[in-house]
Amino acid sequence: MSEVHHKHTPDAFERVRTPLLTLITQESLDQDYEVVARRAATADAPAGGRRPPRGRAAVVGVVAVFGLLVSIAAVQTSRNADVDDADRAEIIERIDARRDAVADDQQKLSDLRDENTSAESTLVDLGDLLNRTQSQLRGLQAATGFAAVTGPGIKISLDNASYADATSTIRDSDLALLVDALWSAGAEAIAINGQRLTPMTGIRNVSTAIEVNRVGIAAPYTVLAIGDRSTLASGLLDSGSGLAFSTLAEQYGFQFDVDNEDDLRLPAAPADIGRLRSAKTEPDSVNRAEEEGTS
Amino acid sequence: MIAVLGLLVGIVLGFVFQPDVPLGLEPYLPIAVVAALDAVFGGLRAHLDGIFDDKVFVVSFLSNVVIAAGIVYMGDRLGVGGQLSTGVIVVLGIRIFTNVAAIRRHVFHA
Amino acid sequence: MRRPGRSQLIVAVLLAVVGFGAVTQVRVNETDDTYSGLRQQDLIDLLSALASARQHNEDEITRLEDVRDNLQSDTSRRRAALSEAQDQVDNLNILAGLVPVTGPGIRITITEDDGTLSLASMLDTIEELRTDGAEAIQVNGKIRVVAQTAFEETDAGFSIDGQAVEAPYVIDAIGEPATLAQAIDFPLGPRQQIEADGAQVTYDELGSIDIESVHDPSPLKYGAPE
Repeated sequence: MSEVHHKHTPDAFERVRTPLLTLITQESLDQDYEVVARRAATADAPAGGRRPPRGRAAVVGVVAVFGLLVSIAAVQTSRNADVDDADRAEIIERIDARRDAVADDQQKLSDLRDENTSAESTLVDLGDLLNRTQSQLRGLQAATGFAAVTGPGIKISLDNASYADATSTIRDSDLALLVDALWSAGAEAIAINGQRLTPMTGIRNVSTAIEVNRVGIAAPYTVLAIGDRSTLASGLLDSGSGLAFSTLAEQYGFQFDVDNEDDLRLPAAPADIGRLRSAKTEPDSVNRAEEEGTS
Repeated sequence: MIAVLGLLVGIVLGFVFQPDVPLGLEPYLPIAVVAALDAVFGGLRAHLDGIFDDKVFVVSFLSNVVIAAGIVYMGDRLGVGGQLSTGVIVVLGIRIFTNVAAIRRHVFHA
Repeated sequence: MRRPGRSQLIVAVLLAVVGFGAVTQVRVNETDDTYSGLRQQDLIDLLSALASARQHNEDEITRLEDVRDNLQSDTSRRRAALSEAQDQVDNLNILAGLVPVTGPGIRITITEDDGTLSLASMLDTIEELRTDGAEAIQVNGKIRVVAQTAFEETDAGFSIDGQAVEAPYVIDAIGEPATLAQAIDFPLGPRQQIEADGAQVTYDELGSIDIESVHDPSPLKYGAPE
């Protein structure tokens, strides 16, 4: 502090412009020593002569304190060394454990990713198979009469003669002939009074009523047939069964009308009609069907 | 000579009593020792230069220790204790090296 | 070459010491464990970095496990739907006459003695069999009767779906044999009609009949499933 007051301007500039490291090196010795020495020289004191005993004792005391500090620091450091080592060992142990855990997790993650990828592709494959099976199913249901179908076709209105008696009403066999004629003419699907014909649908008389799909129906009958309209109406009377039916119709005076329709809707047959109890696919044919399905 | 004896007495006392350093001061002890080392080498050099002064030595010793520890303490409060103690060690280290070099020149004339 | 001076010797010795020290230090560093270069604070940082990495991984694992569980339940749902659809397809394949079938049933034999079987009687027989639960029907071992099957009278016998058949007619039907037998025998039933045509009908109730013939699958051209 006092030195700054002593040598003012030029030294202050010099000091500011000196690089830090150089400054540190230059001033490695506390400048107070020089200042005191210079002052002593100018004051013409007993330079470097007798030191006051009090000052001397202080130096010895400070040096002793220094020794004490050094030894305490050494003792403390060596004492802490064990603890530090133990801490370090423990931390390293935990790091290793955690590293293992992370590695395990990463293994698990990659396993999971693989698993999910394959599960996803399995799911997609299953979905494709399901879609194929369901469209196959829809086709089969439509063909067998267990799904509603729409399409162009003809509508046949059939009724007993107004003068009909018990012997001249329309019988199950008459309807069977008509249906057979429609199949011959290329019908794809037929429904009578809303009852869809399936491979397991019989048309039969029960006493005087007619049952289709085990549901009683009565005149007037509406027979809907989906198929090629250009051949259905004309082919209807070309077949033997068609001729037989028209002969009967004339004989008993059935009221019989055929209309072309653009858009017919035939309902599905009740599902329980098609429930199989006896028939089983033959084992080798199952394999064949599955191979066809999966190929 | 007496100063050297004082040093020995201090070391012996430290090893004999092995005092426990308060936990709060423990981080500052090493830095204080390095600061004290700087003051001691400074004093030794001044002695060899023939400009040794009791008062200067005592004051520089105490202020070195207190300031070094204080800087580190402040660094700890600011969260840069590690970096600041490194800085203090570097500066003191340079001074010690320079002083020891000067002492070496006096002792070995080389 | 001049004799090396004293100073050169000293320099050589010092350099040798430096070299030795350097090599030793490098060796020591190599043999030490992976963490020797790290200070306490570095180790703690590493530890917490690992902790957060682990947390991250575990979150990801949880997420992926959720995904996996969803996939599994989707998969099992789809499997169930698929097996149900497959069962229905198998059933309908039988009904549509696309696959050979086997099962209990009856074999009906119609022989023409002094007349010809009428179309009406033939149709009636088929309708009665259907009504009484015939699940698969085959005529003369070669024609599978399905819903769309059309019967036509010809000079020699019948044309069924365009294939000619002649007497004697053998109709195989799979279903409950006793019930199917009733379908033939009931009063005013097919037997009466057939005999009125001048033909004879007999049947055997069989524990197992194989129906090998199949119907050509004909996809709908005009009708479309809804």
